[in-house]
Amino acid sequence: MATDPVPVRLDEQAASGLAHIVQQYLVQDLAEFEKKRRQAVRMRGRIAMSASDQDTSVTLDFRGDEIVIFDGECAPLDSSINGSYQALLRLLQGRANPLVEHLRGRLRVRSRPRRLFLPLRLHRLMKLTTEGNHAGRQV
Amino acid sequence: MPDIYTLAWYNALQDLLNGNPDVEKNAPRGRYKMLAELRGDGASPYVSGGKSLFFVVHFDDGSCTEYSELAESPPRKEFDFIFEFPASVFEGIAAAIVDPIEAGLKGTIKITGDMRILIRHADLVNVLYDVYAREVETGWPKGKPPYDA
Repeated sequence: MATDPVPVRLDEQAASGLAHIVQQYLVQDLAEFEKKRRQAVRMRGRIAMSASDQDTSVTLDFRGDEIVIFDGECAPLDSSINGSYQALLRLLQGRANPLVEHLRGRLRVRSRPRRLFLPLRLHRLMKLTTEGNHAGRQV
Repeated sequence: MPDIYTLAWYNALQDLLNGNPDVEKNAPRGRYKMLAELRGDGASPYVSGGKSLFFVVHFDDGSCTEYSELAESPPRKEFDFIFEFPASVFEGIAAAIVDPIEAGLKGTIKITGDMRILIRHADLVNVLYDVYAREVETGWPKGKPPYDA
């Protein structure tokens, strides 16, 4: 059975470009890929992504029935991924893995035991998918 | 040295984009239409407060086929990407004193479009910045950023 896309909304206070980019990206990707819609429905927890060299962070709160995006590191966090803008970009582009980048010291990945795999699940959800024609892409 | 926002300046930028192998290498395949809207913010001496300046950039398989100013606001549906800048921020980028990545992440530049294409080709931003900030020699007849507060 097909899964409807989980609504992705910005918190009322979210004004950063990063929050808007992540929100548009998730809406577009979930609309296109059934597999990612199923992943998103199953995810729970609150994870921050921080571009430390740009002093910019967003928090994604996976609630099952919706995903809410906040500016900054919004406590209480279950997980966080910190690194340079380029390191985060490589993650989203699917050119790097958070665990490997953490071990190489290019990212700092933290997680509470109860949400140990949230960073890996986030990476699987958000990394660019090579298939898909991105039809109807105009704004 | 063409003055900013003149036909010669737009033509010089188009020529530089087409002469730069990194643009062709990093640009997405296919046809893309981009709209830039520069909003007068009271700081820019080139775009009056409350007014907007529009220009379009078309890419076709990595070649810039159009780089021109528009007389009025076009229908937004025609474009794959829309970049909205305060005019003084865009001019700061052209003068190499504003980092476009930082401005984009902070929300000073509002970006609308297919973010998957933007993320996949994010390296193009650095290439374009180099072209704006270092390769084109821009004339600033009414003054160069940073502007006095």
